[in-house]
Amino acid sequence: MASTAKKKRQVGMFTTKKDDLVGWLFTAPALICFISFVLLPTLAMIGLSFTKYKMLRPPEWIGLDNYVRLFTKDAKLIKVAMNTIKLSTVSVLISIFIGLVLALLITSRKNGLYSYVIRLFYFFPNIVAASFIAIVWSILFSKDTGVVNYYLHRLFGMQPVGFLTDQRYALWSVVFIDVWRNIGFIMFILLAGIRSISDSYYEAAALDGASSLQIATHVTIPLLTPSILLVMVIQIIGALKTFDIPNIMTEGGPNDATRTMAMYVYDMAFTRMSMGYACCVSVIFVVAIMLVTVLQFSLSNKWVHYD
Amino acid sequence: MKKLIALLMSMLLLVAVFVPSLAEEQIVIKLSCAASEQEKISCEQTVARFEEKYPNVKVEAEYYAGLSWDEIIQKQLVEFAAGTQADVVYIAIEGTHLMVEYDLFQPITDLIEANKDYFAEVPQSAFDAFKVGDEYYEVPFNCNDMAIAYNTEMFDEIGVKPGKWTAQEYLEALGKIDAKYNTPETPVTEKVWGTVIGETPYLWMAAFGTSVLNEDWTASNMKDPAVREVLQYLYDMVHVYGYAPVREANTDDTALFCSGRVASIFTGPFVLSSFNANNFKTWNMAIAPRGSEKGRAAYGVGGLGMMATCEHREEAFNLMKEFCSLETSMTQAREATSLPLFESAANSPEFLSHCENMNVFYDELPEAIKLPSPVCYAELNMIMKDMMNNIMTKTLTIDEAIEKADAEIAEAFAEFGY
Repeated sequence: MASTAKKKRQVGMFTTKKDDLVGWLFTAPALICFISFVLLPTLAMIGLSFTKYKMLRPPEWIGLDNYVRLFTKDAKLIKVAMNTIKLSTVSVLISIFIGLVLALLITSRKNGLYSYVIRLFYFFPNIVAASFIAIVWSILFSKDTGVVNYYLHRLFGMQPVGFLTDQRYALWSVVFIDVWRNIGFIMFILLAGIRSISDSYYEAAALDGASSLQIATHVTIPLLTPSILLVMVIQIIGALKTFDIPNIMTEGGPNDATRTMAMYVYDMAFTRMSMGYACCVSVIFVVAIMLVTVLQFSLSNKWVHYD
Repeated sequence: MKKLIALLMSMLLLVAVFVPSLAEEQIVIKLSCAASEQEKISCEQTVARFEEKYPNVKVEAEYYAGLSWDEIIQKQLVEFAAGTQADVVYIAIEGTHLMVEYDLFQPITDLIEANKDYFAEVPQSAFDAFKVGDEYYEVPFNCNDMAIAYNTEMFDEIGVKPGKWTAQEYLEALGKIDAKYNTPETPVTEKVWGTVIGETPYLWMAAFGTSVLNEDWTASNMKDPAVREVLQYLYDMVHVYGYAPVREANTDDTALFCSGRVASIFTGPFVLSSFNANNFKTWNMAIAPRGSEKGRAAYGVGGLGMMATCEHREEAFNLMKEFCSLETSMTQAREATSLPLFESAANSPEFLSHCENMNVFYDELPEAIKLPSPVCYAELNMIMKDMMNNIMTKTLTIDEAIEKADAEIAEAFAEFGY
């Protein structure tokens, strides 16, 4: 009976026109949203990247001039791109390492209340708005009036450190806050990954007399690599778009030491009103993010182990 | 019977549809205004007064707070580009030239001329801030010229009574504050500072009789030796004498001043209400120190401009007039949210009672210098902030920072074809 019904629905290779229509109707809301809010703006961005556009005047076609400027004349962009790469790489690697260690430690503890409190403690920064985090940390890190420098002097007799005013430290201060903010989220994802690993692996390892460290390095971490890949992709894309925290804490200073690509695009578009050039930088930025993501997935064959 | 009911219902329906259109047409004026919570109350009172005077006009007001001037300018530009702009827009001198450059404001010289008597009490310098070429584009709403707010207890302790003082005398006073409240062993994080250097140098440039731009705001003036002199003075204050902390993005001058961590700050009347809000009472005002004979206080003006797309010119101007009224000035006088534009309000006991030397603001205004507000103000402000940050954090030397800022200003003007 079911087979007959199925046959009735199937015409040609797949489905009837009626089924097609129903399918299109179901996907229409998502499709309309995608076209309106993703596809068309992206196409507009690509189109505008070939123009000189000041928003209040009609765009003026200038061909590849913006791209020539970007690749040959914009020295600031190189510095900004390097900041973004440093920030995203270091921040993500450290965050994943600490998040992984915390997830392993929590899993090894049997005390439920302890695990709950620790999880809450580490996840808390993730639910606080970035602007609050930036303002609070900039007050704490202030060179001449900050609490951190106060205690560094009181406890260790140290001279004030320009956490946000010395270009040697400013970017690393932003990285520190980024790590502090993200480890809770990473820990949660990895905890879920650890809990999805079958107990049979651990039982087998225990029978073989493996130590906790051996179990972690030979069982848990290899089987956790799909979750680590997921976290890495999400975090790197997020870190490459970093805007709020450095924008509030340092406004990109000193001497552009903390200016990121997203901040640069914003400045170009809305402060300097060079919307055409901002679109050009954005196009290259999007392509770079896509390449990084593709690279991550293609390299994942070498280190990600699926159960 | 049924037919009769149907007829009556139809008539009622017709009346419901057509009667409102027969009534006098209501004009809607859209207002976009930056205002703190306190200022918003005053603005709403102004709008209520206006609507009472002109019952055929309805004001749809949008108030917003917490934006800097460059962000406010961006907001207006973006709204115009999106076609959602208001009819009357609150923009300070910082944005006027850009709005005119893009033909977003319409000139209102004729309307101002026709109301000369009404504006008789308002200083000409307030109107001049909004003059581009031969035309006026805004009606002033509030005004701030800059002076020094000082902690009276601290200055009494060191025996200094600020009056007309030079930049050198100001420096000496800060030296006495430093000697009185700090020792060489005092850790930086516990120091009492003489002052805080602003994120941009405009006020000190005016105090030394120079500017970062040329006179008509069309090119850089960074190579003027006086500009270097100002930057050296400010650098020394931070790094040679240690009278001021290194400024950071979130340094809060008012909070430091009210908490007694800083003895004096450069400020306009707009900050004074927050002294009261912090229950800080021991303060007074002194004129801006002069670095040269040409030195003056700097001033900025906020005003209401009429967008080029505004169709109800007369009604919109009447609303702008209401914002520049004696009633509004008196509210500003009472609340110290701005220097009241009407002379009688500026000289009223309500305004002068805020502190002993409250008169310095109005007395200084006629001679004061406009804040440099060129067509590329947003870029200039960013360049100046970067420059000050680079100098004060010792990232660049003063000469390197001047060189960099000069090139960037030239580039910013070039974008506008200057």
